[in-house]
Amino acid sequence: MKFTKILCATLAFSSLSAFAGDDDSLAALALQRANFTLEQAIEKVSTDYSRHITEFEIDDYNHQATYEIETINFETEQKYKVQVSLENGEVLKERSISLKVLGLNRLDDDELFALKELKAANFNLNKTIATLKQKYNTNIVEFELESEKGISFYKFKLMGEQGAKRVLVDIKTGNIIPVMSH
Amino acid sequence: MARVTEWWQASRKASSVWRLTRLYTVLLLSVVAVLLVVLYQLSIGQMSRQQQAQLESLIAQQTVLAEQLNTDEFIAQFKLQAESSRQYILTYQTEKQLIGRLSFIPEQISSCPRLTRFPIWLDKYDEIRLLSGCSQPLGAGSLTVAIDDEALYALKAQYISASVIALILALLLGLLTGLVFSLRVLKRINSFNQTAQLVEAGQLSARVALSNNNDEYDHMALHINTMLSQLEHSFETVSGITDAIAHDLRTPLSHLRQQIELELLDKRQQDQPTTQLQSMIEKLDEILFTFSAMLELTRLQQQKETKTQHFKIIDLSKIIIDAVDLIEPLAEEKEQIITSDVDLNITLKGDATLLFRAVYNLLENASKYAGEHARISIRLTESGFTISDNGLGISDNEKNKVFQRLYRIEKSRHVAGFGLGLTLVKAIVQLHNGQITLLDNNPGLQVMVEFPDTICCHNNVNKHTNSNGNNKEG
Repeated sequence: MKFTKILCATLAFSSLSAFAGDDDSLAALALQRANFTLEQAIEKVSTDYSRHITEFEIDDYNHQATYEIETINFETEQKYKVQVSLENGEVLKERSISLKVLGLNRLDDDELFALKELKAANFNLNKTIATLKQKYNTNIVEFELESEKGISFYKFKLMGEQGAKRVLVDIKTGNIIPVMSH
Repeated sequence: MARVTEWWQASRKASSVWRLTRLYTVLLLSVVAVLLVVLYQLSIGQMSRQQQAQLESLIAQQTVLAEQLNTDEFIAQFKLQAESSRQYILTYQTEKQLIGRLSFIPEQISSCPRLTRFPIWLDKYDEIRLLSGCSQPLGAGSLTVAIDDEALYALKAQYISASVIALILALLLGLLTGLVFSLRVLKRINSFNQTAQLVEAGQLSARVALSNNNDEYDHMALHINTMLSQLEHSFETVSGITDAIAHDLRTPLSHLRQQIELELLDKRQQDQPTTQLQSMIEKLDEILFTFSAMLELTRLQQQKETKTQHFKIIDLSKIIIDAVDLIEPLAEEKEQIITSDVDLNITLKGDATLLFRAVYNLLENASKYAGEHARISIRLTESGFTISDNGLGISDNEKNKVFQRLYRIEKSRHVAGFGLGLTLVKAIVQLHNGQITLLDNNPGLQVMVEFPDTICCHNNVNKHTNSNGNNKEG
């Protein structure tokens, strides 16, 4: 508990300081110490808000480390940004905005396409997270749903002992997209 | 909108020109489609085939090398080739190592030579690229060959879009030219139809209009006009002869009648029998009546234009009421029931005397041929009137013949008549641009008369029944 407070204070301070480059390391550290796992947070948000999760990163709220998760609810046409405590899974902050502004959709075409694909696909985010964690033996510090050239994917940022690494997972097939070197 | 739909349905069913337009459009579309396919095969198809051939050649080359070199030598040359090749992405996977530019072999990749499209990520540029590739076992491992064919796919997509636009334009062009063609041709054909309708209605002087184009339609119009002129001349000649005979015979016959009448008076004064002379006068009257009717018929059929100039607005319901009043005594004799339903107020432009004659003739026919105790009804409709009876009716094969001059149905020969009544009625109806149709009343006959330019309707509440003179309602 004491460590978490120090960590959160550091995280809060780091956004204004020279520690900015170490955000991912600190986030990884926070995740290692978390009582409430990322999978649990995703499960909670999926159940309480919507399973169409578009973004995740580690943030802080009132000096507490949180999972900041964004999700889209098509029924209510709302986009939710939820901050879940790493310590106990409590929802510390919840913000929602309507997807429609003056009748127009707030999301761009790529985002809409990715969400449509996600809705249609039989993609299990928690299972993918577990697979990635096991395969690369790292923590996931952030991810985001994206779409490019008709391919919709989650872009995960992994943080391990060898530093940050990005992995793309195709939501249609559930497979990791190969990286091509130059 | 309804008119457009009506036009569409009518032209779809009826117009041969429209069928030709459709055929022309389909042919045009087919030609454009074939050209597009050929063009595709010669450009993008050729590029695609070349790409496939090069991939197969690359695989064959590596297969030969794998057979000729040992594993280390093969891997060494493969590393060099994989690093140097910019166009093709080569990867070789053994149990121990992965050589090439891909971080791993995608699971969904198919066996060569069938290509699978799969995404890869260029982490350096944070960009997704789409490759086409295949994999096959080679030596101690598995060879994967892929090519970045995004440009080719983009070209394909652009070609398909352009093809769709080209087909839509071809369709529009086909329909537009077809429509213009249809309208122009239909306009010419309609002028032929209109002339034919006028001739059919008795206006033998009608001719097809000629254009300045001097095309095949004008040639056809010239032939038809010549034919109509000859026909008109023939009719005039025949009518002239008929008229001349009727006219020439009518005068001596009238004189003959006068002489017989004088003889008859003499015989009566001398109290001598006059039966034979009486019979002769009756027969002469019949002949004179027939001649008069024939002459009148000829005049009706030939002088349509002159007669229609004197048409006035007349009330058809009034004519029917008058005709029913006049026929009632005849019906009473035969104990027939005449019902008239004239609760509509129909007016039209015509000749009241001629129309009265037509209505009366039809009622008289019904009374004469339907038999005793028959029921005869006359009813005004929005476009004319119908007369029905429950008599013997007319068989289908005789329905058209009864309108011919002097034609009489075999079974009705015992009834007095000359076979000119219905011919005269038809001539009167046609003079008013109308149509007369004989229908089955099951049992009996129904005569339906329709005029094109009637003005309808106010309710008259004028129902009239005469049951053999005993029962009347009004």
